[in-house]
Amino acid sequence: MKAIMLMFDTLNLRMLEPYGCGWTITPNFARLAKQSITFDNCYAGSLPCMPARRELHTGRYNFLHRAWGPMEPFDDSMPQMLSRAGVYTHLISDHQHYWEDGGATYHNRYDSWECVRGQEGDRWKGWVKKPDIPEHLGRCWEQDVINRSYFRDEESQPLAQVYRLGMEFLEKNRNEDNWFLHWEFFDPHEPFFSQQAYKDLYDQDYKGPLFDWPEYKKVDETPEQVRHCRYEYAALLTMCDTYLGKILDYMDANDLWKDTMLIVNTDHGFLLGEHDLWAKSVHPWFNETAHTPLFIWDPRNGQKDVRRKALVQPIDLPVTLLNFFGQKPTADMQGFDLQDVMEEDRPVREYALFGMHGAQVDITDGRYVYMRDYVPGNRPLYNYTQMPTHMRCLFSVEEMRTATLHPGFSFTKGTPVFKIRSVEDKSGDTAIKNSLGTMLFDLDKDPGQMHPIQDPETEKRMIRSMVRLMKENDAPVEQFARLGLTGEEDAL
Amino acid sequence: MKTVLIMYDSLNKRYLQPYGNDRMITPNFQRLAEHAVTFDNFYAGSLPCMPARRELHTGRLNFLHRSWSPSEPFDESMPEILASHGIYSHLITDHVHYWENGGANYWNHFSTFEFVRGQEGDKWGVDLDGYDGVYQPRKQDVINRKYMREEAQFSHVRCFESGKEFILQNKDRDNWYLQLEYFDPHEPFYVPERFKKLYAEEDVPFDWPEYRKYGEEEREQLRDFVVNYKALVTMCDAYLGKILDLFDQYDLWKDTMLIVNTDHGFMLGEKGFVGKNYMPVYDEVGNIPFFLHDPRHPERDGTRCGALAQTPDIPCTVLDFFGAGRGAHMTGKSMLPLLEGEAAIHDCVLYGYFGMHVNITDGRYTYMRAGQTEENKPLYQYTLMPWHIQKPMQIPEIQNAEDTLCRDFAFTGYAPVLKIPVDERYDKKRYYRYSSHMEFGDLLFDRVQDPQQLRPLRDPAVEKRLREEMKRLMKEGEAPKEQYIRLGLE
Repeated sequence: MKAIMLMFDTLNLRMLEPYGCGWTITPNFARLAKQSITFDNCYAGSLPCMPARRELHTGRYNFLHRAWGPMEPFDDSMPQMLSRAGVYTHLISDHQHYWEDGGATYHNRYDSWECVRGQEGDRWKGWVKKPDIPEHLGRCWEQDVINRSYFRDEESQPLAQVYRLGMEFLEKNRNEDNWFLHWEFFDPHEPFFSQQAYKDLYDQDYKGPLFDWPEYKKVDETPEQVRHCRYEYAALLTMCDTYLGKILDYMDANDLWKDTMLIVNTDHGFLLGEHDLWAKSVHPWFNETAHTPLFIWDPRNGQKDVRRKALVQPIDLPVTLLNFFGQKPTADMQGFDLQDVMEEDRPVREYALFGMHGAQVDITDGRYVYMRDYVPGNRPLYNYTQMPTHMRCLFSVEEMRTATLHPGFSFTKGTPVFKIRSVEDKSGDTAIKNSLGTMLFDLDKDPGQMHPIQDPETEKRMIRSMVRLMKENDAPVEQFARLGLTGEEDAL
Repeated sequence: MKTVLIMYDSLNKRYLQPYGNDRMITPNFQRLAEHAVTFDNFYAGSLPCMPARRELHTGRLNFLHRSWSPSEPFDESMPEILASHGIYSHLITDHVHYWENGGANYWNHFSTFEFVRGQEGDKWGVDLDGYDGVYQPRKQDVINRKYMREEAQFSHVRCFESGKEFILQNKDRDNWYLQLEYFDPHEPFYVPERFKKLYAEEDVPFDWPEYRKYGEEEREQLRDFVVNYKALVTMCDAYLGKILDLFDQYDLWKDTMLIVNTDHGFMLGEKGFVGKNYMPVYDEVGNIPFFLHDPRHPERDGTRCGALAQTPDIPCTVLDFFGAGRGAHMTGKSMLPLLEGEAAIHDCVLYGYFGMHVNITDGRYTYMRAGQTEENKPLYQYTLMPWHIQKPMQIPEIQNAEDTLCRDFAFTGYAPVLKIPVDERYDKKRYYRYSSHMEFGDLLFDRVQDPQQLRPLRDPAVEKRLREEMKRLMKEGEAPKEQYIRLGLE
């Protein structure tokens, strides 16, 4: 058996044809849905990018203990476990956060790996002279302008390069057995840099300045500008779709379907003006960002062109992959094998927890989403780690001076961890700034989450389940205090 | 002003023409020596690769506190200090250990960085044939070489091309620092045929020595290793020449400091040893080539310098050159006064591997002080990043960390660090054991009478003096107190 995890970053569920979008051009996602199982209730777990990737290794939430960070020495790693069981693992990625301080130690869990440089201001080519910055709205980073100057055509764009490396792997190994290819595309993550041919599909009237990279903030642009930026996203999305199509062509031509699992997933979505907001992370995790697309083709059950309602999460994927290759998940993994969901939509969980370290804690049962805000001051709050690095810097000496040694948690394999007072680091974009308070939404009546409801009974039920799931995750006790809870609500 | 630092890995002094080897083909190192000061008594500090690179950031020895490790959160970093003075820094490297876990966090200290894949079993090329789930560098290297057949595909050449691109892009700009690192001539000595032909007519298949003694009966293998090493040094020389061409073409000499260095040497049969890391740090490994061109002192080009200097001095020199001050915890010395007439910047220098001999030289003598206690204990690692070269520290090792975090050191900003006792069951080295510290014992050599370090001396007065110097330097570097106990230096 073999498996491909085709992962996009920032793939918005609501902008895909198979999820009902009528204005974007994504025929190959529609084709994928015909060839696989489409999950209607997949929710992110730990957010954003790197915490989501850590879950793909460990099969458990990490956002109650740790902000964005590297793999920890005590972490289980799905690809490493596969590798030890004789399944070859290969990572291809242009996700530049892997080679920042806070992404270290992920790629080494694979037998081999390739990376493609240049996305999102990756500190790649060295120009001492500052580049000319074009007139723009939103963001336009110097390093990104430099990098783009090396991407003069479609072929040189990281998306195409990552595609070619994946095809090289497939071409070389499609007749081999026992491999797992983790094939990651940073696109359609911002900046929404694509080629003119894709842009022409959407917007030919806009005359304003460059606007393909929104700030993480509230919308203060004109409706025309907002529409343009949405079109820029859509153009990049269609470019992703085009390459997905080439991959599906290859799967067809070589009938990889007969023995190859295909998972197409993402880490989170992106607000493109909905709720009058841009981006993610600094805002509550509305469904545009937390409710994610997921497609799985599993040759064992052959299910295709079907939909599943069961509530699933990324932590289920490593467990499912381990089982697919005949390996047992570890006791610390909390995700579920999705086999029963794929075969007969049998639920594996009633509630899904999701969130970002230091932000609101969120829970859904598929019908309701409850976002629990923190108390004023957002204290107490700690990071528990053996790897004190943030996204784009190491922990400062000042932060480390607050460190004490904590005896560890159920999942740290008996090792102690640093307990470090959490501060907002200089990495940016990883702390909530726009809290809107505790909110409860009824998705049946209000799928756009425009009108928070008052429903004490449901809220009580959600709190009860939140506390239960937090305990199952061995959340540090102060997390309850931070959320204004006692930690006893699960008994009520 | 700007600076180019070209760093090789495992470049041996005794295989270079400017250090007196006339049978080697290294005309460009010779040409470099005409444009630079050639140092005769330059020593490594912390060994091997990654500890040496850590010193290039921190300007201080680390081998008394930590073995091979990532960059630590409390570490000062020369390129970061440069950035705070508006000086751009760029790293180009094919040194595979930077992207292993134990090399994490180094490159992010630079403004920008490029890395070139494929050296020494880098997990790069893919071949599922014979795959068994066990990572073996030698097996991986065979795969990688399939992707590097033409000379232009070799990691070395791709590094050079990136370096050239950076220089051409930025030659007319001021205030930048380029660190161009070549993994070569580190083993495996994989080198295009045209360089081999310069040293041997026949096939020389053996190009990757093991770290061990080679016997008489293995003379042919050893000869192959030497031929391939020479060929690889000449390849380094050829591409060094192309950088020197750029210096000539754009007269970078007038405003660009050029440093050429290495992390350590490599034994190729001397005293029967091949490799490094498991034998005492003889001068073949510890006394390394070093070239320095200072554009403000063209009169010193083509001269030699006999003063003692060592790797931690390099970042202090670069910072001094740019007028960027120095890190508060740097113990290295700027070498620039040596070009301005100072006779010496060190009385003695310390060098070595974590948990092995602590070595000292005053230029005349080298004294290697072994652990004196029965099990070479007590011995602790101090870290905020519990990783070995490729793997995390093992669970039992981290479980063994002292319950109380250590807050003893000024160089960590008194931030607490884990204090982890060395336990050989989990910290296995491929080539030596911490507990075989008595195999060689204390060694004293007179470099003038016995430059090949073949005849250890007994001279209690010299030994006593060097032990006192050792204690002084250890104190200056905030060596943990158990190191004095381990070394019997009460």
